[in-house]
Amino acid sequence: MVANPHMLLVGADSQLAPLAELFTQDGALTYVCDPYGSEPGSSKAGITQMIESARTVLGHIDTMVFCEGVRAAEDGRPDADRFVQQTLTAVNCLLSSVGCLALKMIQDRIPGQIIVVCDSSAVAGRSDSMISSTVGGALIGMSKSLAKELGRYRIAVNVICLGPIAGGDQESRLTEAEAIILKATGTGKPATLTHVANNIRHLARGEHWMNGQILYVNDGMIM
Amino acid sequence: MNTLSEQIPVEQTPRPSYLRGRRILITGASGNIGSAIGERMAREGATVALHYQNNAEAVIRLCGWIDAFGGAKAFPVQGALHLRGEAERVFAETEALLGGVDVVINCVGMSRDNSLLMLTEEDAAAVIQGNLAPVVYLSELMCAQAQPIDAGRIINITSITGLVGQPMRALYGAAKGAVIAYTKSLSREIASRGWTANCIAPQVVQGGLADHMKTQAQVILAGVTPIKRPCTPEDLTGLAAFLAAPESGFVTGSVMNVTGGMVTW
Repeated sequence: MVANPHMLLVGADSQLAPLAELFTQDGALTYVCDPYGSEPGSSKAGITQMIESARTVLGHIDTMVFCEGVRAAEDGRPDADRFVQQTLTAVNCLLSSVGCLALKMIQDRIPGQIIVVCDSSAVAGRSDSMISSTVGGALIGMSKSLAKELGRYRIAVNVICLGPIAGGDQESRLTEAEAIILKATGTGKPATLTHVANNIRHLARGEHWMNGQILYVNDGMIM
Repeated sequence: MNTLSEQIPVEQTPRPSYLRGRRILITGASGNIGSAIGERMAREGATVALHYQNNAEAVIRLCGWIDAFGGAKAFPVQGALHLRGEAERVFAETEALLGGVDVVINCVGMSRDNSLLMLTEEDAAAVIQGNLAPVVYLSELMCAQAQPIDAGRIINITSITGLVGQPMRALYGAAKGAVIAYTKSLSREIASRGWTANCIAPQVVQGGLADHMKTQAQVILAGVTPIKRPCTPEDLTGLAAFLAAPESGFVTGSVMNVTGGMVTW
């Protein structure tokens, strides 16, 4: 068991940025990076540099939490090109992050956990979050292939799929159908960041023997 | 091309009225899956536009066979659907040829398979653009038709890779996963029109990308498939015909596995 994981959080601008503090309070070492918000940028070279910086600070990285799959919904009908652009951006970011990090984990002989976080619209679809859904679907599809490729190196790749988060974007945009399902199958309440952190922490500790799986943190909204 | 026409006599047309009146655009019709589906749609009575990018000869030959059935019409349309302008032109041509488009069946696809550590940003751009862009562009164009369309259908051929992954196929998995998710969201948006959007997710299909798989991988695939044979393009055509028909109107947002039992979840 990894008691105090060394965690890299990718996606400081997402709704999940406050997770870093929760992990730190629990004894983890965390490093947060934002590939799109600042230098060295989201190119493969930029992400490689970012990961090197993180390793310098943390000593080693055994867990990456990739939060770029959780996005605020875009109002109105997105232009067709945005689907492709946004999907490509996220795919490149994950590809570069995992590629660089997996190599380090293999070289350091460290079992690793790669946790990709996305929105439940990636699995169920959502008409007012089509870009978020498409991006999330790409990340899930990619994660499963990566899980099959990296499992032999003791690097597990799993997905956490979120329903509405208290105070988050999706909570304020619940459809009537989603609200009915939530009340019928669970408590009818959104998750909190603590719920999300608990699930990530569980995966980060490495005792779970799961690979290529999707954990739904949505109180039963999707089964 | 060893098509259905070469295996079954023309006289044995299955159900010439099942899709009669349906106007169907099939993309990637020069490939093994697209050609088989195009032929089946025509045999079921549909008028079809068969898209190709490079292999004109194959599609023109297929159009000739279909025209020989009697009662069915097929038109070739050419374009590079990963480019928005080309997709718009292809759709406009199809609309003009058929008088409207009731069904789009997206069979285009491509892959760049390699180890995670060897994949480049150029690979990612090619695979995402090649698989996702045609689906999005044509779906949007389908929805933007000025004339009312009854029982509109969007059918996207994806892959089991998008659902359960395959090693060395991270980008293909990403692209097909994106198509699956997009289709599900689209299905919710178009439901109020009485339209449906679905995916068909086959196992590796004979005659296409499967030909590039190593023999050992093919042996393993056959070993884990309860129905002990490879998936053929014809295994998909009956399902495609059903999803294209008005009677499938309560099936939407679904991903249909065609895997011989390899994936049962």
